[in-house]
Amino acid sequence: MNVLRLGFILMLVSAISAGALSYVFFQTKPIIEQRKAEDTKRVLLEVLPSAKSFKELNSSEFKPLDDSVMFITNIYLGIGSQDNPVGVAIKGVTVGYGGSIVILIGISNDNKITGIEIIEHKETPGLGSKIAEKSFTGMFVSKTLNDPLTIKDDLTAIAGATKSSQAVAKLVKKIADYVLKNREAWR
Amino acid sequence: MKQLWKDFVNGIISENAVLKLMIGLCPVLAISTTVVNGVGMGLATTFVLLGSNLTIALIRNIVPKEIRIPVFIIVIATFVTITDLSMAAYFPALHKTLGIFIPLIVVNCIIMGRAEAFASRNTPVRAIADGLGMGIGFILTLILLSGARELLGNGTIFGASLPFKGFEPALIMILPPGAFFAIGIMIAIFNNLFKLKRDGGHKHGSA
Amino acid sequence: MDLLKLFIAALLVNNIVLMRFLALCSYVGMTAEPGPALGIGWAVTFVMVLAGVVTWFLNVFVLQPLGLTFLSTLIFILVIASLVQLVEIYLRKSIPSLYHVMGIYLPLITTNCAILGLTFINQREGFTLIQSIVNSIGVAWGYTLAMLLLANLRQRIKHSNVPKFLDGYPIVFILTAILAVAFMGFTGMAK
Repeated sequence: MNVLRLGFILMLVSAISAGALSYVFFQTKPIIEQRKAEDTKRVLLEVLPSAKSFKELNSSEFKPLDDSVMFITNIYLGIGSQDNPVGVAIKGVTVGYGGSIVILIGISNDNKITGIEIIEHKETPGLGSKIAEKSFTGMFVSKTLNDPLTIKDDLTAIAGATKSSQAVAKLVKKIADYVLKNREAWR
Repeated sequence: MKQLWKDFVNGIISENAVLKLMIGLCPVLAISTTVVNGVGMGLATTFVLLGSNLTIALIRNIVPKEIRIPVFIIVIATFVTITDLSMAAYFPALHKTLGIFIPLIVVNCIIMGRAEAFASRNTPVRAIADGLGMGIGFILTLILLSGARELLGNGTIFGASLPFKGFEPALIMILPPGAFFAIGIMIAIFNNLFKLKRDGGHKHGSA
Repeated sequence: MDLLKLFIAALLVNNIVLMRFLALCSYVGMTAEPGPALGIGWAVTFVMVLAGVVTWFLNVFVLQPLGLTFLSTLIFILVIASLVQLVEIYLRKSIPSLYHVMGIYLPLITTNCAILGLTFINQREGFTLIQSIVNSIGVAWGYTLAMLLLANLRQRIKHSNVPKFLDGYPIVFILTAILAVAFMGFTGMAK
């Protein structure tokens, strides 16, 4: 009998807890989702400033990248103020020195890189982490997709973080080639 | 009133959770790379500590002894999840950097320890005083440690660079080894200071 | 091959104690002698793999389909606490020899944050069942490795002349810092 009583009290406590949590969850859910959406929009505008709004492609609407470590996860079409296409923003993943690196790259209709943001990385703080700084990402801006885009030619690696720099440059190059080959399909 | 003050001060020095009792170390070392992270973690933990201390002190006479621990765990986990969700909604950037260390507040020994040793045996008001003291002691420790690490490892304080030039930060301090090194030195300093203080206290005959 | 990389990453590159800062309470508290360090290592391995499997099933078949992932913290800690109880009862009754080796450490495991931490890592990385198990073993052995390294180091400094300022816990952390420097050498090894 005692076991039943104890079990009942535990059940009651769990039920109160679950109730309270559900309440908080449904209160915070819309805020969390809105923040996420705003965040995505903000970064998209950062890499493709000429766009007014963005339309995300379904993953069935684009071909995957043919590579074993690099992937394209999202493609957003940038739309200008007169409903005209102004460019495309592509989110890609690669592997750096410490783990995955997620980047977002904006490309205008005249095949120029308009901006790059490092969304996520696990590179060594103080060394590889500098890939996220403007001094590194800025190098890519206004290069065209036909440029060599390699560390030796037109880009310089961060001192002490060659692997991290290489990883980003390779992904950018891969995405550049991909866009040159496939962009007609989305227009 | 005097009792409340004693309960409050207790957690700051003589029973400082991290430096004296060696509990709650994991989040302290993991997220103390910048002062902002340190303060964020400290406040989140203090909120959970206050909530669970108060709740447990309120229900201490209703809960049967045999299922005390599971009930405590549920209460603590509830407050942790509330903190987790609220931070995701209102401080998304901080929430992201602190990562799994927010839900891991559940197993922070400070909280379970205070629930068992203090809140389950004392009045709600004293439990609050105890929670506040413990929380502030925890936050102060975090500020000191993360301040030292951010300054030495990154050359900034609260994210702002130093007003003078010529200081080359030692990167190692914000990497994992720096955390262990810094806490080791900090505990050594705390132990030595504390010994001096105790001796002084005896001379004046104050308890 | 990928599983091997995952295992090495969990064991060395992202060592749960030295690189991820989990389970520090038992790491400094239970390493005065190598014997107990090994015993608690086995106990943690046992519970970690079990917890990894149970939480995987709960996450994939209950929490995610029902949209209840916000209850993960509550449910995972309760799962671990009950698992520890069950394992203790089972071992005491059925395998007394094993209980003798690791039983006394079991009650301490509920608040070992490495186990709860591991279940969160498995969940957030979106591992498959096999990946979860491999990761659990890697993390648990990484924990045991760190415990044994420190326990043996502490044996050696017992009779050496530690500066008075650093005597006690401080020297333990300084030793750990040096271990962490060594483990940083593994960064970039498995990816």
